[in-house]
Amino acid sequence: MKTIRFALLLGVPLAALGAELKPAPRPENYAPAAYLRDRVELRPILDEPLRHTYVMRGPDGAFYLTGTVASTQKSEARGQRSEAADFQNNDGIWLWRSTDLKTWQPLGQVWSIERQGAGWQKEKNLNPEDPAGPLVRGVTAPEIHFLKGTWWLCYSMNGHGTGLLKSASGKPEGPYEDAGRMTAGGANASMFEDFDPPSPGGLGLRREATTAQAGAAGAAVYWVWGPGRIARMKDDLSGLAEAPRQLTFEARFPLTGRMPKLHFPESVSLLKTDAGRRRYFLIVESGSCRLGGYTRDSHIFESDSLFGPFGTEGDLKNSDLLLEHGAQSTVFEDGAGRWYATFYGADNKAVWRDRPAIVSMDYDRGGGRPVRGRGRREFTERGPWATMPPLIEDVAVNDEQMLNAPDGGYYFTGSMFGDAFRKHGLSVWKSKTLEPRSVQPENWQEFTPVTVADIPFLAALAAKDPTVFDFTPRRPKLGTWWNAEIHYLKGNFWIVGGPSINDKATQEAMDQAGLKGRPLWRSKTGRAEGPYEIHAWLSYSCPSFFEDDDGKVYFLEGVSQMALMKDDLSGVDEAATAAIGNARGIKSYGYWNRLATTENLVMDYDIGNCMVKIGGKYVFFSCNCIGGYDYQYFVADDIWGHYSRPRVAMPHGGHSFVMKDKEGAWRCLQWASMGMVPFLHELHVEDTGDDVIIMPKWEYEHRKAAAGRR
Amino acid sequence: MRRTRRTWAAAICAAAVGFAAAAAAPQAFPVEGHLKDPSAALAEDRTYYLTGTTDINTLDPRHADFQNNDGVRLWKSKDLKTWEEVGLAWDLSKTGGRDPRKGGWQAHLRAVPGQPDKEWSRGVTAPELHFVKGGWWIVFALNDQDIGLLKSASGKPEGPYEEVGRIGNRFLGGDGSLFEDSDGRVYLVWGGGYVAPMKDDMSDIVEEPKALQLAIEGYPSEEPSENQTGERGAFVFRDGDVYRYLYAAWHLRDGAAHFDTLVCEAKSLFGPYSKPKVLIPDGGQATVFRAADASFKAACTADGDVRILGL
Repeated sequence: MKTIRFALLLGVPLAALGAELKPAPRPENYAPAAYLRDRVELRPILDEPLRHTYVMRGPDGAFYLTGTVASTQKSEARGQRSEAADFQNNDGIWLWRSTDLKTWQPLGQVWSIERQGAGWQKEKNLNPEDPAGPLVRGVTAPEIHFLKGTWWLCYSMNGHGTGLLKSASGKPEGPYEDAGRMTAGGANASMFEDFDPPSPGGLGLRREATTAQAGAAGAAVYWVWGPGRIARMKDDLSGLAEAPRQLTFEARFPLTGRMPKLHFPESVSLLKTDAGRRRYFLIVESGSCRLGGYTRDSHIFESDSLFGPFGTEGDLKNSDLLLEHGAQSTVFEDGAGRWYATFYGADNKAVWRDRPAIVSMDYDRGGGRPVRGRGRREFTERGPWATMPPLIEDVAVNDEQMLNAPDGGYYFTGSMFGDAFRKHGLSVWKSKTLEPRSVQPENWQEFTPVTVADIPFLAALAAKDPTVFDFTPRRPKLGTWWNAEIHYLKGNFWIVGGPSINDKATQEAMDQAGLKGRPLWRSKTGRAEGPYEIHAWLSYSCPSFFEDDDGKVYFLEGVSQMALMKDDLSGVDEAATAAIGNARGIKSYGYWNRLATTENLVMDYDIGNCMVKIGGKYVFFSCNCIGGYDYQYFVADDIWGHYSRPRVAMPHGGHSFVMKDKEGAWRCLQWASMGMVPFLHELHVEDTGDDVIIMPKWEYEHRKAAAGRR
Repeated sequence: MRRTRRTWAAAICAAAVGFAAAAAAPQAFPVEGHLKDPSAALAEDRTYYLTGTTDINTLDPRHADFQNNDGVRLWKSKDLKTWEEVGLAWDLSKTGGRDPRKGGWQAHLRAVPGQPDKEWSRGVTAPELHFVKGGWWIVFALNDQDIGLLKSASGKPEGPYEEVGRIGNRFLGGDGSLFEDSDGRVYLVWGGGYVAPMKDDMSDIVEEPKALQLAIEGYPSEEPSENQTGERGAFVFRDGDVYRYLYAAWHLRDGAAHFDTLVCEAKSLFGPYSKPKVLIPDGGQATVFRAADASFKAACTADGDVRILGL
């Protein structure tokens, strides 16, 4: 403390010497999330129940659509809820055609089990979705392919074997004749032509050869089905020419890995490209450990060999998710370089269920593959993602925090992203109400209550070396104010935060001043606007505070750690914190105690700590960095735990924050996956007596409505 | 798992397999309804040890079901009739920790495959006890995914067990099993019939997994398959020169759906395997072990109770 006081005393005259602060100018018309203005609600392309949406572009340049139809398809489907549709009982395969991907002309039923089926096709099968239920009969997951100069339909009968039909007319609408049962078991048949050289046009990611090559001899055709089985077909496609193999996968995670993301493939389809380092792409329908449940997403993996191992090296690393809730997606190109993926709403967190849709994709030329770019326009997940306005649009803010202050204002701050963005100080936005600025233009006015010039040792350094305060270079000597927060504690405003230090000399100056960590600032006026002075230096990466009803202030840090502050907030009460830790057998790290769950689950969700009290219970929030960047909550009777299992409070919340607003409603910030501009969601919070249930209000209303329908 | 209750005697009589189904009266198990996917093995001292998936979660009973439990529990018996609990051979709650090489992967909740409405869970599923390479091992999955291996530090089946780590991590399902061939080579068998040889030190698989070549795949057989779905519980054992592949599936038999234990056989480990037959009607996920008299016995679950059957 002596050195700190010394620095404080010394700092005032040095700052007065006038080290000039040169903030970086804010770029004009900066709108990091401008693309959000182009958001559209995802609409089905047909208002009919359809699963396993499959779209391909034929040699005539038109698009052909098929998929699993429901038995209610032709008679009762219109206007009926899709959940009532029975996809395991149907009478074959229907086809649609489009030239613009907007209007789809029905080509009708192209194959009927009842009229054209025979033998195994007519047998009743166990229902794979309900094995103990009544027997079923229907075509599942059909695909249409153009190979060897004609049209083919591959399909499965309820997952009990796969078969092939051939167009007798050479036309997509058939009639189709039986080309045989390919496998006696298995589901989700697909075909892949291993054309070589790859598509001559140069643009390419294809399932089969182009028109010019179609019918050319030599290209091997493979039957691909089930969880990644593959076998070469005979040249006339009359059956399999070899024993099936299993496509192999690289270990998704090294054996030292932590959180699982994937389970196992349910279905796969192969594509080939002539661009990029690798040549084969595998689209995999696989469950993901997302959103606190099991979502059926589509993923993309690559390999330089047809049989694998397929993995996520290089540009695919950490980005194998192709389409959320996409399940059995197919990707295709429209002939003009635009890429799309198919969708049908495969799980209960999808935007809607069991209707076909196409979603625009970006094409990564380097990787030679479609990607779901950050500039996404359609949202496939349930939630107000396509319509909700951000609070402010002209800044990208990470690690967001909001304070409902007793002075009548709301204060918002966080880590600001982007080059040269207010690194000279902390930006805070003040608002009287919670409406977005687009609705209420006077809301969310920005001010800078603390700057680097308020830090005495830096002011002293800048007096000697003015470049320390020059924020116009691309990489200034002082960097982002990561994870800063504004709090109201013990009747005053406090800010925790300071610049990161980018150069050695500045770091050395800090070490010489005997300073460790970053500042805790106290308002000298009792006003949020300050001015502020440094009250203490604290070591932290990701700090937050919580003042309990008894006036005790807790310091939350980084990885689910907590310490008790001294009464005057001059630092951590290390002795008291250690005593609590020892008494309860809690592991300590530095001067923090690690929070623990009843079942000793790992809580290293890295960031975004927030503690609130609801109905006498302590609710601890943190961001699940390794599961999907959701904001999760844990409930305990005692602030030190043990805490319940985590549950998702706010999907895609990121390092977020929860507060109670002036009307008593709970609110949660959210920014991840959404261009890093702030959104504010109302939460549904339910105190059940022995537990607290938290979810977005829109999610609660959805569940309530769904329960009402049932 | 939905299962219709059936009389056990009728099921035994209906057994139509390459083996003769035993007439031995089934024994009720002391933790009725709390154990499934049983696996048993005979130790040198002629004691049988048994483990399986439990729905016991002593730390948080609010989260207790077959996807949420507190680890691997063992029971032992001298006569396969009276069972005594040995205790928790591997405590899931003590595996946390900050070192991802040692902890971490077991200390997280997981989505349960195929159950989108179920909240993230944590439990050991289908652990199996094996004596291979002169030592005792428990191979298990966490929530039907991520297979792990434990080794007895004492060389005895009751443990204590230490963790070898996560093995065969190629996201192709759970239900891990070990198979030691007559040449001493040990294989990891799992999911819907995947097999890969293990490294000599048992630290992981040494090659990419292969799928067993099954007649139900339809190649090279042109015959219609058994009508079955939801295959799981892969288990391989060897009887003389014959490899037998055991699995559980929903199976269409006599016009109705049964969760049967099915078996098929081959002359080589990777197949081709014969058309499956019913080994244990409504037996579900079963494993096979050698009894003290060198005969094969199967451990399975029926009507919620563990059964030991002669084969």
